[in-house]
Amino acid sequence: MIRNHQTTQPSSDTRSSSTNWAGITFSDRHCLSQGDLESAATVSFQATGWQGNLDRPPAVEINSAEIEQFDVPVIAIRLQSKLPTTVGFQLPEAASQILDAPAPAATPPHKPLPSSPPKSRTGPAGKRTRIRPPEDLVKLEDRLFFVLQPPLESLVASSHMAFPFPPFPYQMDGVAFLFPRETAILADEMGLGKTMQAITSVRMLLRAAQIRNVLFVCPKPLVTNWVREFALWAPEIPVKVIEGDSATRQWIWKQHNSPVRIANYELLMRDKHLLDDPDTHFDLVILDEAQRIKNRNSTTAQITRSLPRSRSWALTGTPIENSIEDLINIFEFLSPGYLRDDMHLKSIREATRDHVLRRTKDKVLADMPPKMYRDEELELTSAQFDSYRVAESDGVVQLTQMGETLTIQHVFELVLRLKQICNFDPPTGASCKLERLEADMEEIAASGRKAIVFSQWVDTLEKIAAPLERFGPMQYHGRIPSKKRDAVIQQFREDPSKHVILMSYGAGSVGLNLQFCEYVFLFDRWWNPAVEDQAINRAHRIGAAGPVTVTRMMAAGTIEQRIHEVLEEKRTLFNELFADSAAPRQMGLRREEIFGLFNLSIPPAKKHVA
Amino acid sequence: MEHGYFGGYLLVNYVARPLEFHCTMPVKPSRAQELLYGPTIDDFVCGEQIAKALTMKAKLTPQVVLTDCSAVLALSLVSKLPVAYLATSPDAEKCEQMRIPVSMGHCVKHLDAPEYRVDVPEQSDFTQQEFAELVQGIAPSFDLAEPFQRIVEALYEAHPVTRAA
Repeated sequence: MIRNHQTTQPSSDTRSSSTNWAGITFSDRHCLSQGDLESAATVSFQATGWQGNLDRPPAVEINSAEIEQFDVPVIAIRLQSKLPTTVGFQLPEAASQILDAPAPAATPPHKPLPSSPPKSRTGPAGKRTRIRPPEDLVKLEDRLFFVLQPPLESLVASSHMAFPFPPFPYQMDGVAFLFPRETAILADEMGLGKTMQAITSVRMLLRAAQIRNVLFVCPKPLVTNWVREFALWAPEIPVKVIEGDSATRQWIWKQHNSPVRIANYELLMRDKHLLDDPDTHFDLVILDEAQRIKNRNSTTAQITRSLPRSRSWALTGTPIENSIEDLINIFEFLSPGYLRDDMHLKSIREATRDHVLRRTKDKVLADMPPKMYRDEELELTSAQFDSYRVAESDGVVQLTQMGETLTIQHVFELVLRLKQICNFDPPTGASCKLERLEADMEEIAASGRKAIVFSQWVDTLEKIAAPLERFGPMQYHGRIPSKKRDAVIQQFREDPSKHVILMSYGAGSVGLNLQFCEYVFLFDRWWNPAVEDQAINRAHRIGAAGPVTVTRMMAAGTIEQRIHEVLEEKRTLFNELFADSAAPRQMGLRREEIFGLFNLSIPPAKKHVA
Repeated sequence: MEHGYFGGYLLVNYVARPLEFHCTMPVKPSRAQELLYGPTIDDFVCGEQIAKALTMKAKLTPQVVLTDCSAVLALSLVSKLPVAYLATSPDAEKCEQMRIPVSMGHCVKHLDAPEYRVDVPEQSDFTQQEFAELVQGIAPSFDLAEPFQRIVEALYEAHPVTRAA
């Protein structure tokens, strides 16, 4: 079989034609293009030799059609070219930038998607402490002023502010808290460095020209401490202590260009008339140990409230010593009327949240040496026991017989008498506590360590001094003149033969740094756990040499043990107030509790004031 | 994104102190813009619209405009200010590299300085030497990536609605 291939060829003839052969019809009525024909019209057939016409190409007819013309509608979409609306402002520092004309580095237009934390130039360990605007700051521009400030560490570095020791991160947080606030309470636990945080904040505000004159008010024994701390943490700031005779003090009060002045509470009362000068105004007043104004009607509280000022800060380790009123009264200085007596505790806690910063050592100082409590329940000597039993039974009988004339003062008097017997037997001078203290001191002195002994009575301290003579006892209390006290502390610190210092709660519980002591003895107990904590924290504070052992002495089965139970309850309540959960309860030592120390009931006539 | 794009612009000095701040109202591209600009919509909105508006409004002239959003490099199409992209975190860099810079036709060049690397449009006049001098001139405590965090916080302050977004 032979297979021929024939390719159709287009014809020049445009007439229509069709060819039919062997059952196949070729029609040229289709308009085929050259390409179509070449590719599609390939015909295979069987040549038989008698169909010559097969060699003739098929005729292809092409028809043309007119295309209908129409208008295509065009829709124009205008693309917005108007630039977005912006808002903005210049910060105060921009003025100097324009004058000095160094080209600033600029940061970016930005799409505010939640961003990952940027890498730290100082590595992951480099903490960045940001200054946050206080919640009560309303104006957006004022809020942005703080939001846009660089981290505190950067501000400090660029200001060439040197520190004698690197601040702890929580201390930088404290500075960031104080810096933007007009009203603030720094209520850190004792020993966390409130002094340093306040001084650094003042230093930064002075450098930022946000304040020009500051008044510090503190208890008199602490004035020299503040001067020393300023010399340490802000040596470039001149500090004036308001002291001397009346004329000198008047002259210092009128030095309105002094950046920092320090006054004590007692002096403030004496110079009240000088503060009435209409030219007197402080950009910032800081009250140290602000619990001093917890009594709203006290002269001290009234005078501090009358100080003309723009900013008010309070420093205290114990914003609440007895009841929530203590805190309300401190706020009367900060922002009169902000807290009311009839407010619920929950409302107070919410209202003060942004104004009070309180941290405790166990939260912020992971590497702080531990503080160990040792409650020594000591049996009274037989002489003490006899005296105690007589005094208590006679006293209770007397109180019971007083009937409706019984007052809380009468109860206090009996408590004090019994506590004194627990320290020393009046006729014989016997003391179970002293025996124990001597034994402990032997061990402490042998190991070259130092101890602090606290008592509420100077007489007790003086009685202790003689038997402890071999341990080189130093004394620091109300009978030691203020001018000699610094020398006492210095000698105790530096003289290795001085192993113990005897302190009264009143003189030695605040502002002293005795972190080189590893032992604290509470020879008798104070009414308020906050004061005890302050005393203990003279030793247990930043820089503590090692674990601090606190020995709380109490005579077993006596009034001291009952007071201890009450104090523990108060301590628990205080902690509850500053916890995030559990609504706090009444903090004060209730009248019922005081009478209850002797199982006495409150006279009916007194109940209405309870 | 529900509320559109927000732009923030913070000018700082050599020690990271703020000098000037501007931010935009929310900008939301229209559907037509999204269709017509296609993959370059971010470049248009962030670079040609927001960045241009912000830089025009500022009174101070910056040495360089740094951005943590690569689309802002499109600012170079409409402004003579030098603009550079600084990746503020490894994640951001990875994410941004998947899509940038569309408008630039993938034509960027890298500038390096100790601790920093930035991308600039290829035709940018901002040179390696200028970048090195800039980094050398800033305070040691100044991390160039840090101010972006401030801008984010400032935008949250200025546009509280973004918190819910």
